[in-house]
Amino acid sequence: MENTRRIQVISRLGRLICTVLVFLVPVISAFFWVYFNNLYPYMNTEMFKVSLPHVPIHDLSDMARFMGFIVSLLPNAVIIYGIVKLRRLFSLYEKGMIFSKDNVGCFRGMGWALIVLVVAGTVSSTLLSVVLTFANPPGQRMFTVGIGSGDFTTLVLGLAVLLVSWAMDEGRRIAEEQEQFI
Amino acid sequence: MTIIINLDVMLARRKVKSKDLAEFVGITEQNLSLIKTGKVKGLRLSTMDSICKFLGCQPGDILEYRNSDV
Repeated sequence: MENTRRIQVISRLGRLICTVLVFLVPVISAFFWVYFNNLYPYMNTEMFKVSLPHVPIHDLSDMARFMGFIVSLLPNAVIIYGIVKLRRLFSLYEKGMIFSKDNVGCFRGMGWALIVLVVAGTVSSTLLSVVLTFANPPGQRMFTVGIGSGDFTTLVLGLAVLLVSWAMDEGRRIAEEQEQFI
Repeated sequence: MTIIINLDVMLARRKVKSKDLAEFVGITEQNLSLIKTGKVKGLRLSTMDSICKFLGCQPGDILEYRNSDV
């Protein structure tokens, strides 16, 4: 009982944080691209690390910043989908539902979101390299495709969450059978 | 193979209400009704223990096996 209470309290906090994050992710991304020209001189310094494939050498045009925002929407949409699934999971835990079909669906959704995030992140990073260097003089325009250890970690994490979702499905089956024992 | 649940019969013999038995065992009347109609996958030994204690009977008085193949 104590454990259930603890799950519910932490889940409520988690759900609130997820609700805020769902709105914050696109808003922060929009602000980042709106104020990009004020921010890029400080990028990739010790103080301000941003995972951009290239730091531009001059201000970006409105169109380039808009394109940057659109391209960054690709991984952001996947992140938001993952957060929405996590929020739903917290909401179920709050209601005391631990082993339901919905819980399994949430885990499966989060697992796939992490896997798709690796692909979306790579595609986005590739397109960003074009967007960020498109206005550069000929010879300095770049098209880079990269995959890092972070992507590999995300992929492994996604597979692990997917595995957990299958294990959860087994748990749900056992819990449902247990409910039919009186 | 068929397992017959004679809980209704035992309740009538002992002149006990389902509500009182459910309360003693610590289950809902709805669940007791499920047991009576055999619509459960299983009966816990602890539940059976409480039922037998309340009705003063043996598990065999409640459960009966009838071979439907014969």
